[in-house]
Amino acid sequence: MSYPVDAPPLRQGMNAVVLALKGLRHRPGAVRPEQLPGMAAWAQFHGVRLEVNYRSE
Amino acid sequence: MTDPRPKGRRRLATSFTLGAGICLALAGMLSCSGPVPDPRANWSDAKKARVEAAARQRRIIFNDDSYELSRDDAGTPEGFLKRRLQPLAGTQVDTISWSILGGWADAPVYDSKIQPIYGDAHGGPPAYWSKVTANVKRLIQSGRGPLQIVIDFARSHGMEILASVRMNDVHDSFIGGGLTTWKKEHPEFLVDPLGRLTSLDLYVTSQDFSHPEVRQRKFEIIEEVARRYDVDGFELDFIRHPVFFSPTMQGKPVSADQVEVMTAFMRRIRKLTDSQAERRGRPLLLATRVPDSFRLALNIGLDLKGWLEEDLVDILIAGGGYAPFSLPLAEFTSAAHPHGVLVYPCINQSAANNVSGGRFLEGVRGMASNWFRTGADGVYLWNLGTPFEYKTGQDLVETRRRSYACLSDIGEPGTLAARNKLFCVDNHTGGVIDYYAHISSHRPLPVSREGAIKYGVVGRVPLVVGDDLASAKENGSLDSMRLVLDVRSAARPDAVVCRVNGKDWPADNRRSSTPARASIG
Repeated sequence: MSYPVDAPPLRQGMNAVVLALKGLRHRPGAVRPEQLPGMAAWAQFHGVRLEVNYRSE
Repeated sequence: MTDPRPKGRRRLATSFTLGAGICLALAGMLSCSGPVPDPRANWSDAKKARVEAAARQRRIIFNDDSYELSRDDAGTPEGFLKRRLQPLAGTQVDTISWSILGGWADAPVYDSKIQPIYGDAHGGPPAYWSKVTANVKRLIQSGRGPLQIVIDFARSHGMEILASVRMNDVHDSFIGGGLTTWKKEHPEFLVDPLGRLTSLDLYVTSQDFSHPEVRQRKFEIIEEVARRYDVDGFELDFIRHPVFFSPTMQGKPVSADQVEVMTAFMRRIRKLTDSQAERRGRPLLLATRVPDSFRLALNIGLDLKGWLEEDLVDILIAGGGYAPFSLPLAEFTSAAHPHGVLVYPCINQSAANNVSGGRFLEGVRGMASNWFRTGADGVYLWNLGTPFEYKTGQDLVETRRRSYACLSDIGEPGTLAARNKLFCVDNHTGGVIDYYAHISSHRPLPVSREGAIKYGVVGRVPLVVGDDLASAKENGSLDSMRLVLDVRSAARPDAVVCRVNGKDWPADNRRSSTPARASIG
C-alpha cells in the first residue's frame, strides 16, 4: 500500500515511521485474529520505501 | 607538484581535513591561549605523499571480480575489456579495483611467478569460469597479461587502478573444483569448524590467519604486484570473506592476541608498500574493505581505530553493503577524516537491488544521497557487473544499461541533486545475506522478527532521507513523494496505521499497490 506524503512532516535527516494496526472494535469473548492457529503473524511489515520524484526527470 | 583534479573541483576529504584543522584551531582559541598544533605536522613524508595522492578525483571506485576472463573471446585484450570495463570510460568511475585473485577460488589471474594461476592451482580448470585459465595464458603469451591490460586501460582513460586482494575467499566451500591444491594439502591452516554456528557453514574453508604461512600467502602476492606492476595501490578486501580466526566460527569475538596478529600483518604490508613507493618514487595507497562498524570489525580481528592511529590505511571502504540504509557512516567519517583517511561506503549490487524492490537506480541514488550528507568522499561499487555473467547479445546490453545507469550521477552530490530517488529501510530477507550478518548493521525490518504485529503493538523504524525535501518543495523542483509499505498477511489492510514524525496519514489517502520484490543472489 502507498501513501502520498509531503514535506513536512518528512524532512532531511532522520524520520520516525510508526506502523501499527489500529484497534478494531473487539467484542468481549470473541477470538482475536492473532489468537487463531496459524495467524500468529497476522500482519508483517516487510518494507518501507519513500519514493521522491522531481520535476526535472 | 601538479594537482590532478579537474579545475574547480575540491576534494571533500581535503576540505574536511582542513576544516577539521580549522575547527580544532578555533576551539583552541576559545578554550585556551595557545594555538592547537596541526596534526599534520607529525605526518611522515610518506604519509604526506599518500594523502596528496589520495586526494585525486575519485568519485566512484568500481570493483571488478574479473569474470570477463571467462568469455569465449577473452584471449584478446579487446574481447576481455569490451563488455565490462570499456563501457566505464566517460562515466564517474575514476578508480578500477581489479581482483588479482579472481572472483573466487583464491588463485592469481595474472602472470604470477610465485603462486600457480587459476586452474593450475586447482589441478585443472574448475568447471565454473572454466575458460579463465586458457585465456589468462593466451594473454600472457601475447605479451600483456590481464593485469597489465587493465592498468593500460585505466591509464589511457585517466583512471586510477588498485589491485584488489580477496583476503580469504571461500566460494570453494560450495562451488566444486575451487579448492586449491595448497588448501587440500594443508587442512591444518584452515579455521576449526567444530562447534560452528550453522549460519557460518559457508566459512569452513577459511584460512586461519594465526598461521604465518597463511599470512605469507597473501603478503607474497601483494609484494609481487607491488614490485612488478605500476598500480596506484591495493584494496585489501576483508569482506571476501570475513572469517580470519576460529572464534568467529562459534560466534565469538577473536582474542586480543589475534587482533594484534592482524594489526602486525597490516604493519608489515604498509612497510612493504611504503618501501616500494620509495623505490619507484610514487605512493602506493592501501584501501581496506571492512565490516559495517568498528565494533563488528574488531570482533573478527580488524582494529580499525588502531589502523587509523598507526597510519596503516589510506582509504576505508565502509561495509559489505548488506544493510546500506543502516550503515553508521558517521562513525567512519568522524574517525577517519582527522587522520587524512578517505571513506567510501559500499554499494553491494544484489543487496541494493533487494532493498529497493528492484528499482536499483533510484535506490542507489538514495544511498549515495544519505552518505554524502554524512561526509562520504565517494562511493564504492561491489559486483555491479555480476549480472552480466553468461549474458550475451541484447540481453547483455539491456542488463548493462540498467546496471550502469547510476554511473553518471551517484559519484558526487551535484549530479545527484533533483534526481528521482528511493529512501528505504533495510529488511532482513534471509538467503545469502544471512552469511554476512556478523559483519552487517542491524536491519530494522521486518518488524515481525521480534513478534507478530498485533492489535495495539507498533513497529517503529528509522527512515533516513539525504535530500533536502523542504528546499526542493519551496523551489518547486519536487514533483511528488509516496511512502510505500510492504505489508504481508494483513487480512484487513484498512487496519494499518502509518505515522511519520508524529503525523497520521489519513486512511482515505491510501491506495493499494504491490511492491516489487527481488531475490538475493
